[in-house]
Amino acid sequence: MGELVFIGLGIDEGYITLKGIEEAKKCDRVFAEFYTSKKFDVNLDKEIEILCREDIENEEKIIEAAKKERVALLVAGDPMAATTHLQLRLEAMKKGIEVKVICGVSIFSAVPSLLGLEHYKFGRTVSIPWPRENFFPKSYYFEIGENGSLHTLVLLDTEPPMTANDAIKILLSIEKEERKGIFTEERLICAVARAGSDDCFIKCGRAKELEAIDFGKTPHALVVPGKLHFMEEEILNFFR
Amino acid sequence: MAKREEMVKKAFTLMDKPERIRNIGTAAHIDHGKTTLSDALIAGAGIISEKMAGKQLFMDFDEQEQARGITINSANVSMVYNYGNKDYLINLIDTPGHVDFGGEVTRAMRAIDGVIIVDDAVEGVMPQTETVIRQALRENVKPVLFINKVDRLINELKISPEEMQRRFAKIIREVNELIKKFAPDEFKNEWQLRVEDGSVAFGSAFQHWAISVPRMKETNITFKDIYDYCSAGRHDELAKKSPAYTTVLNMVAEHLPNPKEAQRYRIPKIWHGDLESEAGRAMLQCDPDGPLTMMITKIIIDPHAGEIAVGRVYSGTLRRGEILYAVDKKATEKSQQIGVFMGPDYESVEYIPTGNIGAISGLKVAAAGSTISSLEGLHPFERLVHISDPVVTLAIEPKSTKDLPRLVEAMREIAKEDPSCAVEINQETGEYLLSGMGELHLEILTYRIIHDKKVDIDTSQPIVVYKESVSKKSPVFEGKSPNKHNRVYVEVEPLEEGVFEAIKGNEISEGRVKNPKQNAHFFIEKGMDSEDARNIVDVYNQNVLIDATKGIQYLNETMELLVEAFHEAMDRGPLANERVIGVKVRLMDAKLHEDAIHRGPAQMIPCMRSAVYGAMLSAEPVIMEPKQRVYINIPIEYLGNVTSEMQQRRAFIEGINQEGEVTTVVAKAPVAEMFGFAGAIRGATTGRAIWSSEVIGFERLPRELHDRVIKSIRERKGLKPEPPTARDFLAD
Ligand SMILES: Nc1nc2c(ncn2[C@@H]2O[C@H](COP(=O)(O)OP(=O)(O)O)[C@@H](O)[C@H]2O)c(=O)[nH]1
Repeated sequence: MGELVFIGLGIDEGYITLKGIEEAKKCDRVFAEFYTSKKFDVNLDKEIEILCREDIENEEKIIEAAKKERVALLVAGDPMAATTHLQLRLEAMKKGIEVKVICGVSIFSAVPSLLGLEHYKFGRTVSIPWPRENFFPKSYYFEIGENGSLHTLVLLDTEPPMTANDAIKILLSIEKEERKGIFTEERLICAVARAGSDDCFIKCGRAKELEAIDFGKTPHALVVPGKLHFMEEEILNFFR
Repeated sequence: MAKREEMVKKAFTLMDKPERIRNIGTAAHIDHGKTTLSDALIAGAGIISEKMAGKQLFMDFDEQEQARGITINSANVSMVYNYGNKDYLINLIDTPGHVDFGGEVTRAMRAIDGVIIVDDAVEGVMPQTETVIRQALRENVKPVLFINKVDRLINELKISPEEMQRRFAKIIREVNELIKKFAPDEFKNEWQLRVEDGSVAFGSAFQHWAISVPRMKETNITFKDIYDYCSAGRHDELAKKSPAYTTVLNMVAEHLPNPKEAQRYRIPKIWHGDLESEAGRAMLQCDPDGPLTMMITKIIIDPHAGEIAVGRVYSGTLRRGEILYAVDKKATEKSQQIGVFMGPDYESVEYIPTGNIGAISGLKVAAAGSTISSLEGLHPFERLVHISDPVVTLAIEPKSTKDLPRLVEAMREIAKEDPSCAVEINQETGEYLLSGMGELHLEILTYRIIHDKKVDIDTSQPIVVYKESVSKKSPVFEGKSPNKHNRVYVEVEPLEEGVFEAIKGNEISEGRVKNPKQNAHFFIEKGMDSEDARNIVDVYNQNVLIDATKGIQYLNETMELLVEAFHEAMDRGPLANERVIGVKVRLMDAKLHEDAIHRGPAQMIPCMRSAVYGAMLSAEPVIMEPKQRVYINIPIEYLGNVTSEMQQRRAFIEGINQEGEVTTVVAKAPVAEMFGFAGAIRGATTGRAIWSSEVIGFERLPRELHDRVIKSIRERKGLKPEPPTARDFLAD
């Protein structure tokens, strides 16, 4: 019987753990998927087979390989966080394949850390997909509201990559229709561009102020803070 | 010509007087004499010389119609007629007699308020007489009756005067029964025809004479006189004493309603907006000062003027150069020129008041069925009923590739002129497809492309259009999204017959159902279970989507995608990618990811589509083939030849009737087997058969032909020959 090792690559080049590198080197085959993140180089002195979305969704390719050999799957962020690979993990476990998870730094922990916001004070994370014909969900707007005094991490669509400005526009347009006071132009929000990279950019301000700012290249993320502790307030002031 | 100019002048003054206007048409079984009668009326009214009428088939001014002797387009003619010392403006719309062109008949019915049913005294009431009466009554169009070809009863059949009266009585009785059956409740009695009051006339359109009871009193002509004149061959004298146009147009002026009268009861039927609104009141009252509302019933493509939209003004006044809204197309239009038809001539005018039939040039997007108004947000007129979807398709291509853009343009124009045909460009195969109601219809359409539009083309063999459906209820089938985070559970079953028919007949509208609870009774009345009826989401191509789930989070923001997937599955069925009809899809349950990003179109559309496909394939899917009803009139000695010809074509003989020396065979036959029928039946009867056909809808293809037909459609479409099975859609 083979083995399936999920390895988190972290949020940018260089964020993979030593443990991750060591485990990957021990594997017979190394796969990687980047379909929800930008592609970045990993230096393992080993061939890395890049998978497309269908390969992951079909599972077969990986499961078949993992039945016979030790297989690593490199995933951006933490392998069990942003894009959940739970389905694949379950499938492997049902087939009796040994499964190991090597955690990585994910956007879920990076953004609060970079902003200096208390991790435990975050509520449910929401994502904003591009609205298109027959698909304009608004549940994320209400969920920001339901988080109440808790902060909300807002992740943005990657196909094509959505900017913080796009996301703010969409949320403001929903506010205009729904008028629940959840995401007004005056609301204090934070935007983090290229979290974890050397040219990471952080900005805090009123929604209508941030809407006009150029954050540069994607990926971008937003945080809608809930009730702020005075120290949280103080650090956010540094980013205004 | 002086007479003509004078008449045009009179016509213009009458356009402002709705009480003096009659918008009428003629309708009949094929060959019963509709065109001949129209010509006699026009001749009498003096637009063309009396001598020419009859020979010229004036209404059939389409070159090709003349060659075939069939009336294809509904042309209009306006004429002035004096009755009881008052001038009347009579707008006569000619309707096609071939039920292959049924779409045109209903469109013409929308523009008129009254109709002359023409019935051949020799043949009596024929099945298509019933069809046209039903079409008229469905639009609240009031009928009168003209019993034609009386000369033949006397001169050829030589029947006795008593026998003649007996035949007339039978025809009137049968027509009255149809009126009882199909007229709206309030008119079932009022619209009964009575010989005594002159709502029935008899005569010979061909010989230009006609008589009615009131006219007998005026002219002192008796039945016996008619009998004598005819027997002696003195038709001309009879035509002088009691001309057809006088008798028939008296009947029209006296018994058919003017627009003011008619709109009171027709508007609620054909316009479902708020009758209390400004536009609603203006239409009900036929008010020339109200907002303009007009329904386009026909598009004519003129080589000089371009597209001419013909239609009926229901309120307000149409003016030249005005900005208008094509309400159903959500577009702004400008009327460059407006006018009325005097035979083949178009007379330009400055304005056309309510109650008239007029023509506009310069409209860009308007098609037959469009609502034109001065109000942007007007509720559109009810859709014109399509008798049936197209059933035969041709792939066409230009002989020279440089003509491709012109072919595309020609096809677009053809589709606008004749909404019972459909054009489509198949992206996958690059084929240009032209679909119509039958072989003859397609022949005419290709003739038009070649001769009128002057594009030389090659055509494929005609291809039958099939449909897909299911024959029993499926088990609940699970569909998974590609990312495995979402699941939907679906079952399908055949749609209730009554609901299916009601959608087909336009009693139930297609589209999203806004207030399912409020509208449930429409579906319950037609036989649907009340639980289903209260949860209808969408009606699409005679299929229904039902949401049987309760309180599922995020379903509301996902429903549009499920509907889109439902449409995709209904547009291309699982067996052969043909359209699906008569299926009820029930959403039983759904498990949706809480994060919207994981349940977008790329996830939910395949998820729902594969669930519907899987369920259909578990419900004994069937192929449906189009059927025609064929009426063949022959002398009795050919009966054997005809029945054997029909049996070779998988036809079912529904009836054989004999009326005098005419034998009528009525048969139901698959469209697929009817190619080349015209030649075959001519051969089998040495040219003595007179036949017509109408598309009656889709029925199950016999089991033994299933595999072969599926395979040939799939191969033609470049699919692998074997259709998928439910297993192919099982999510692991
Ligand atoms: N003897 C006779 N023939 C008629 C009469 N009316 C029409 N016809 C003939 O019947 C045929 C069909 O008539 P037409 O007006 O084209 O019928 P439509 O198909 O209803 O328009 C033509 O050959 C006409 O000349 C009539 O009153 N008497």
